[in-house]
Amino acid sequence: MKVLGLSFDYHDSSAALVVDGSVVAASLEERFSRLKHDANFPKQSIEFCLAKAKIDKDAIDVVAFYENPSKKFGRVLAAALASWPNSAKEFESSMSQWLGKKLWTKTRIASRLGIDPKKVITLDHHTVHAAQAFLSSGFQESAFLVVDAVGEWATTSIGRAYWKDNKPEFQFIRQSEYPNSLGLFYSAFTIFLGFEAMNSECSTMALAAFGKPQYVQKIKKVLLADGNDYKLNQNYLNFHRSLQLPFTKEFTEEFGSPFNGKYSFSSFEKKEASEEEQYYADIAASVQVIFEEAVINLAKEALKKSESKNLVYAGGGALNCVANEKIRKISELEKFYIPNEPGDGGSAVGAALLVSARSGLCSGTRDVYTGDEVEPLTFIDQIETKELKKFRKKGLTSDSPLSYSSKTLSDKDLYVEVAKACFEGKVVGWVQDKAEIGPRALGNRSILFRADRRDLALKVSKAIKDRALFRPYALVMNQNAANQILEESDSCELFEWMQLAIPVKEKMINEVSSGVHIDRTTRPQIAKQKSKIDKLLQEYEKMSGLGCLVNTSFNESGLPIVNSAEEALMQFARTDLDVLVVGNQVIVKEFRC
Amino acid sequence: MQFLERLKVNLMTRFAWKKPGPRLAETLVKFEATEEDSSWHLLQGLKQEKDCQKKAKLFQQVLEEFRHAEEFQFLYKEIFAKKLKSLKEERQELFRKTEVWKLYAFCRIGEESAAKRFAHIIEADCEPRMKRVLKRIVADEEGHIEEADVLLDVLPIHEVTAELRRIRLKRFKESWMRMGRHLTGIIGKSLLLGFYFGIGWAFSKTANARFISNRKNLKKEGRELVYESPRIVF
Ligand SMILES: [Fe+2]
Ligand SMILES: [Fe+2]
Ligand SMILES: [Fe+2]
Repeated sequence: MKVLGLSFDYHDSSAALVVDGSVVAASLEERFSRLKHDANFPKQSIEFCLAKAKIDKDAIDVVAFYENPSKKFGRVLAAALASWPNSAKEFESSMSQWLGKKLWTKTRIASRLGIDPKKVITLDHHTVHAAQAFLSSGFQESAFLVVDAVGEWATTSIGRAYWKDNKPEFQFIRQSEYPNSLGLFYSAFTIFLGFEAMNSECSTMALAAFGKPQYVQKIKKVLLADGNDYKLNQNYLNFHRSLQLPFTKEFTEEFGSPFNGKYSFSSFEKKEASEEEQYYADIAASVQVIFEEAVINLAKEALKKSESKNLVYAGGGALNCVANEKIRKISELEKFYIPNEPGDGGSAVGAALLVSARSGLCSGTRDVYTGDEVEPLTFIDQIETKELKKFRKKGLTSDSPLSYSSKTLSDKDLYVEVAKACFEGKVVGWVQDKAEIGPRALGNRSILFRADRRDLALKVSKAIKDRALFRPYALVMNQNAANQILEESDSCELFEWMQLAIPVKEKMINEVSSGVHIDRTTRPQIAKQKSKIDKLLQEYEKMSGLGCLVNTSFNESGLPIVNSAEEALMQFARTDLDVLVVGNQVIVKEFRC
Repeated sequence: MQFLERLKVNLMTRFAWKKPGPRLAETLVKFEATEEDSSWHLLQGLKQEKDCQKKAKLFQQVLEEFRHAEEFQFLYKEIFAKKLKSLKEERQELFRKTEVWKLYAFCRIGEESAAKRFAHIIEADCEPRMKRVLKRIVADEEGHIEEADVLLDVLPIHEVTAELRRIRLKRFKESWMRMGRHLTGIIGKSLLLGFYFGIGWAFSKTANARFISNRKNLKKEGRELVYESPRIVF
């Protein structure tokens, strides 16, 4: 049975193909279109999935869409009418989108794919999230928790998932509905802190580490506790009119205007911040505390009411690795699982898995490298490197290279050579095999460098990624190094997929300072044994004594993670990246004739 | 067509592109998207192209178009003191994987019309900072036209001419379609606003009530959110 899962029209469009219960291919559309968080119809991801499985569109049995458009339309319509007569502009713009396009999703899918509309089904969004977590967890039964901005109406769900007659069942215990949304609450403050919602929530989390949570009580007036549940105080935040600018007059009177500027906090060097900046960092810290409190309570309730010791967790909220670590610490919890891409980008996988499993087909695969495969670059020698000087990123102070040289190495030489480059303080772009689905680079589309040199972290932030200095980097390490560096570690996926913020041992801070945040935590990736990144770390360990490097996603600010070798080469040419590795091909910049 | 284009540019310059304002902002966003989109399309061509020399040349052009997009981002930031938010429209399919040369033909037309349009805007005396950037870009685009001609040179002339004609016609049709869509958009907008102010009030109370009780206790009520089994057609 071949099921194509799709998500689009909100953010992070994606396609996934599940054949007889196994994920054959899955990708975010942004990796092909190069439009970060691309929300358009995932045409290229679909083509990629079909090509990967070597099948034609007519071979697809079911196309499963990740939410129910007509239910969602009801919510959007109600929200637009609720502020009558002050929402004319919002009503007009959302209705023209919905009536012109979004409401007819089934027909649109059928006509764009050229298939029978009867093959297209729409699913309940939070069931899809629960399925994307449960069906890849391998658990026999589990509590589930879904926290996101908003699906059709649901914003938070808790329930129990289990198998019955070889088919999954999702029993919902409690749901919160729009506008009472933890995700929207977090996103609203993300905007307030001067960042972009549905994109920079991680910046809010990073900024929180620089603040003190001294406004918790004040912010609790915005998110009112209601037992284990919460209510959004609509006197402060009103999403009906705009998800982008939800602040009411009461809100700005209480908290001031959204931050407009650049934070001077740095994760890598001592920097004085202004009083104003400190205020916003304190707000971030307080919001983070409230969010953590809320999700911990929800997780506990889910465990209790479902009488389970296992928990699976999905929705955009599950990307908050500081909160995830606190959930992991709940004493009643035995097994905890978060899919690699818990947000809407992963819901195409969820939708396809759900339909397959309901037909009795589920292999429980957990592969995260489901994306496009990289091919070597054939034209390096033909490039007129000097001509590229004028296309380098603005503001680079380093010399422009005179040429690029490329060589292809054997497996063994490759690991030695790249480990040596890292050891010598080079910043390496590392592109291998299939791309990861999900927002984090897990060793196939990564930028790697020495963990004990903060100057390199600064170089990467300023001259390679164009990234705010308050945002920390993360570490990739082998098991040996994990035992030495982390206060605790485990062999579960949470540690393999960078889903937790784990404290670093005091005595190791200097050894790995460029991958540790100001609060002494890091988001570790413990490399899977015998993977390419693990082999590289083994070589690096021989040279440095510690199998650990900084690992950050291979992209520039505002762009998605690179998919192909050509895109990687673009960043190599534009920035101060020292070495580019594509498969076994190593490309370096030459500065002398 | 030339005359209409010139008239449009003159009018736009007089009313929208002389001073910083929302129309100028909108235009910069569109220009940025066009440049970024050409960079992306050339990148797709580069991936398909087999000839290494051509690949290297295309790579340079990909970077150059990307730089053009950046130029508009910088300009936007300079004029409006905030970051340009990209349009992110769906990518169009311009060529089949086996016919990369059609992409070059498409670029040839695109470069030509962009260069002409930018030159007209400069002539019509637009916002000085915008003028500075456009001047730089026009010089590059003229180079790209020559490069596209070189790429197309090796192909049979009649095929290339036919393709160029086809693309010109397609673009012309598209511009009319855009105008048509714009008009229907205006009609649709008026209808929606008519509905909103005419009978919207009648529904606003119901809508508001929906937000007051927005918590479901499914277990207590003995209800389960049961997944509807899809009707699978084999
Ligand atoms: Fe979601
Ligand atoms: Fe250009
Ligand atoms: Fe050009």
